Amino acid sequence: MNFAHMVTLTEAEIERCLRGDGLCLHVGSFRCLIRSDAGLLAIPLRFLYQDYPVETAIGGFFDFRLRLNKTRKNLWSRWQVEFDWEGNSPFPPLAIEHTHPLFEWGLNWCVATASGMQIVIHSAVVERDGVALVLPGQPGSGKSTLCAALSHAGWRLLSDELTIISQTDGLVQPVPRPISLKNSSIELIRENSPGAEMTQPITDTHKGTIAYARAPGPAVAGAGARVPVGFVVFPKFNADVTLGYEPLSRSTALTELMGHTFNVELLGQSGFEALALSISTAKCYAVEYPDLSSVLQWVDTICRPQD
Amino acid sequence: MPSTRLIELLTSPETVSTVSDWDWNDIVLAARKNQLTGQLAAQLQRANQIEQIPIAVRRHLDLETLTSKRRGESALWEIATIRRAVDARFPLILLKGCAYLAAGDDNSQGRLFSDIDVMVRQADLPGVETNLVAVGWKPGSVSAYDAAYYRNWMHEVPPMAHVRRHTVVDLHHAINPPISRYYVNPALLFKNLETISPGIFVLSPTDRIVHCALHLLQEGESRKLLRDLFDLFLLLEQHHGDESSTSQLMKRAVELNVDRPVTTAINAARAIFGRAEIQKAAGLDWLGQCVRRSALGAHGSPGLTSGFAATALLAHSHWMKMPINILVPHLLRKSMLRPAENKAAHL
Repeated sequence: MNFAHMVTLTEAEIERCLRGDGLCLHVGSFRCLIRSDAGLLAIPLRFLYQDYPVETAIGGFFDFRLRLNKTRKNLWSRWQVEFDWEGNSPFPPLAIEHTHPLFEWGLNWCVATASGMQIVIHSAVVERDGVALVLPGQPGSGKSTLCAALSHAGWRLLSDELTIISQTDGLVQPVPRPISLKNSSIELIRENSPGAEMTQPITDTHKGTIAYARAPGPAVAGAGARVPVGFVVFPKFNADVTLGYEPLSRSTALTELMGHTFNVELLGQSGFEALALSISTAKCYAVEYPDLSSVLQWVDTICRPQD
Repeated sequence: MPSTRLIELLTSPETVSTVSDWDWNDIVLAARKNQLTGQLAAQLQRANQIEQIPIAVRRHLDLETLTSKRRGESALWEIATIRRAVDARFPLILLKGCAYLAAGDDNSQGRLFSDIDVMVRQADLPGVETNLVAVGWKPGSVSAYDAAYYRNWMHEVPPMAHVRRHTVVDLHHAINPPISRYYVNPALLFKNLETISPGIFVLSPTDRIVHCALHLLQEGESRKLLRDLFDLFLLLEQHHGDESSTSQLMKRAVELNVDRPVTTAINAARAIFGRAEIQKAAGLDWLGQCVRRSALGAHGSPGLTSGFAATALLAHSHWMKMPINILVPHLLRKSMLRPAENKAAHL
């Protein structure tokens, strides 16, 4: 098979593939065929996925054959874009300007669904010194922001959205993808992490204004390097407090983690046991923080290898 | 036709080594659309061919196998819950997917099903409903018209959903509407039950086949038709493989007054999935042709013949279900109300 990196293609070449037989993008262990006639994907794809392997000659088996095609209800209504995974779509059509976010959400959904044989946790995850720091959190907890800042402060990005843990050996499988930043976090990361490269913000999505930060090159190159869980931290942003944290027992952390796991029911007892085993040497904390710099400093002090 | 390779693999799993990586794209797609992915994995497993599949494809099939296994486990758990909730005087007869699973039929391997179909004696129905309501199954909320329609003409009550777990129970008192052309008197079925555990039964293997055959024609919907035909085919292979056994099955079908639809469905299943000599032998009447065409064309680009076949099949299913004097007013009402209901849904 002929691999190239996305960056070796021009935007025009990418656009031609998208409108033709498709562009094959490798995301972790998934091969994904993307087609789109919306005309709005080539630029963000080339920018955000520049270090990812791609193929332009189409062949072999694809985990996902995706289409983001424009559609409209009738001649006088506005163009929209539709996400389609071979006849399935978890999302309603969106305004055509939201083509790229729709692609990212759709691909997240595909990866989460197809990874169901492993434990799939709705959580950001980064790595340093050979261990993973898992950051599960409700929307608004600041996990993506924290994840973006950490991945430009000595940590390797594994994923900002999905922590995938093997049931057989308890190791975290990286699926590095662009980090989605919402509303005020966009400015925050721009100030805090000058190294972060971001797309133009897209306004008025159902999540507000959204911009994507490129996954750093080493994170993409290291997508094959799996690591054990060293830390589980439940972050909670609260502007009105001074930073406070408490150590959690592993059983408490496990219960919380189960609440963030997509496929608890599917995996049943074996999944529960595998998840428990995967955090059996991890240190677990809940931390409430008023701003990014305080929590970064806290992570730097607390989430360190013991010996 | 998009399902051809899938059918080939389902019936001759040993040909898997000739499938290219590229071919798998359409096979997996056809399997997904026809809800046959888990069954495909099971067939390959049974034929010891599962190792032949590329790892990337394997991941998708394994997931489906696990999903089916887990759903099966939770269905059995729900059934046990229902049994505890329902007065021991009322026997519960599992139907369709639940029955295949409980009876350990080959076709339950990898098969997904969502609703729990249970048949009870008509006289027990109010008691069973009351027992289920008491443990959280909410009677289906339908309009007054639909409620009356169910009560008067149908063989089941509106689906009951559990308030917390959202599992759905379909309570039947027969396998088809009492007013239907091929009504099967449940008393005849109750005589031949197979015991699964105390108070839990399934129809006899022969009657399961009859029900499966009747059901797929009665549904009249092409979306799951191929899956239903494969269900039927596997049941036939397992329980009535040889010729003498088939004549026994037909005797029972005559007894139940459903020989015509059962013959049609069985022939269609054999025409699609059977070995070549069986395919030839399966003479298809026009309805059988419709079944075959509509099953094979269900998820492809809509063609004239498969479109016509699907429409004919749907019309036939209505014709089977109820006499014209009840059917016509019902369909008229539904078709006139539909635009109004759709509008309401948009508000």
